[in-house]
Amino acid sequence: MRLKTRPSHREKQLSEDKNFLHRFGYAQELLRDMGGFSNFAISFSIISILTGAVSLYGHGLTYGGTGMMGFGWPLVALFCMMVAASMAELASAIPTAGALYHWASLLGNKRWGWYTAWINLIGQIGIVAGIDYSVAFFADGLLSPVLGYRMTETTTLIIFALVLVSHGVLNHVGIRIVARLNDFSAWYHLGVVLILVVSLAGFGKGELQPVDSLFRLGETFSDKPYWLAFLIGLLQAQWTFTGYDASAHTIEETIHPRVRAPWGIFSSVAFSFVAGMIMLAFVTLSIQDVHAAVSADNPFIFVISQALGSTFGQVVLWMIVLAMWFCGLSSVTSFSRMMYAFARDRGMPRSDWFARINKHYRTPVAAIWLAVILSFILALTDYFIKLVNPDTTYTTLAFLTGVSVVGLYVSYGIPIWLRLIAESKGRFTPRHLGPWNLGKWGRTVAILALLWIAIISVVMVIPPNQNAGIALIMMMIVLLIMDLTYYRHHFPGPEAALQVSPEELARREAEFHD
Amino acid sequence: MTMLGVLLILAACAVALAIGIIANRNVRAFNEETHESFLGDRKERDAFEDPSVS
Repeated sequence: MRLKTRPSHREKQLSEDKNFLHRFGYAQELLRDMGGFSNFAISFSIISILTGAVSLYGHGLTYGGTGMMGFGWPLVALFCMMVAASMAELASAIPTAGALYHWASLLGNKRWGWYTAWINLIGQIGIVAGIDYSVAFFADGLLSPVLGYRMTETTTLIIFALVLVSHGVLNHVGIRIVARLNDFSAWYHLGVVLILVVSLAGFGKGELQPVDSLFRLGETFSDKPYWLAFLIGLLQAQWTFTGYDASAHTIEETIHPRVRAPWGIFSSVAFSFVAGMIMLAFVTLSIQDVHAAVSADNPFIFVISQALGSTFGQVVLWMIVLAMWFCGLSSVTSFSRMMYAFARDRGMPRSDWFARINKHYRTPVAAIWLAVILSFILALTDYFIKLVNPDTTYTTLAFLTGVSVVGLYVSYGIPIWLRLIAESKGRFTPRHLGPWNLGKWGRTVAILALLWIAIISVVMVIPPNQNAGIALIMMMIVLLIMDLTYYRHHFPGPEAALQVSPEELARREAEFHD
Repeated sequence: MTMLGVLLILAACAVALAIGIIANRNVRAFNEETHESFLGDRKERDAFEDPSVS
């Protein structure tokens, strides 16, 4: 199944991919230009061990102590790999940009698909907001002492808006530049991790702690019993391992998608696990005083500054901020493609706008900017809540990441669950599996993945992060109202695309000549 | 505890490798002739009234 890179083979493969997409009733409107590495890179960049594991490092350390890094990270990774493998199987079988929502529509029905899409979109809003807020939070913390201003929620929000706009502009301009930046981002992430690890191991100011300290359980800096604190602390790893559905959302832009996109989904999680484990181990072993680190405004910045000194530490931290920025760039791409696919099937208000592809840039421009605006509104909502109630104890990051984890993982779980039901009813059989499949192990892996999703969906919204749960419930109420008052009868679903004639598909594709 | 932690890390690595090996084997053995695209049931159903998916 390996793809040769000679132009003739590429053209043949592109033609095959387009014809395969036609089977699902969709025209090849997006530019199919991404190779296997680009597909992997977009998910690897969104997972971004330098964003999730770093920005929530303080959260993990506070609740689970140093043992959170030694036990929490591999535990979460183990189950996330099963979720990723189950999703990869479905991506290989149904390779369309709608991904989760399209899988749910075909495996269940269009209303399951509609809910899956909206829950995924809610999660996507949370992940874009959470990532770009992380960029702003770290950049603000590094800029304020240099420029001599006081870091506040307002200054962070302003930087957050600027970061979002930069991601909107680059995504607007085109998939080629974003794909190149994603490719670079993957190498960049690995490079920064290497620099960080070598610096901490070879040039740290203090001795590395014994390995035992990485696996020390029973130490929490919260007021919760340890077992509960440990579960709450898992948010650090769990939020990191989100967003790898991006490889499926960009599947209509990937050459040879039935093999490359599933590998992108699975390998991005697996490689992130390994690289993240190494990074977290060295950072944690560099901590000289855990109490002081936990008490710091930003424990990660504190640990790095203590270990590497102020100047070099700042350089490394700026490199991490840039990695986070790359992560946000990729997440806007993924979010916009999901929205485009959903609008293409008329699942949201003003679908005609958001399904439109810009003929010059070949990108869903309206969907990109809606992704930017919705992400800003989510963070703005939290900003106003804190203005009204300044004594809130949760952090904005915990709120945004809690929303994204639950939203995304519930939307990951629905099609996996529907697949198990479809299999038990004999509707989905081994002959429907794509080339990337786990054979007889697929069912076991899917069941374990679902169990994990059920657990974390509860754990991520229990106090002190209950506001994320409340926000999700309110969003679900809005969805129910939307569904019952309108979409129940007016959403045609992706099955309607199957009625589109080959002539109509050809006409649509003729509008997009390179 | 250290031994337990190392075992957990090794277990995660082993699962990653096993999934990768199985998937790679199946990709190479894939036969397009026996594959059928899954397009769902062509007729529309309401999941929330259908016991098979609720």
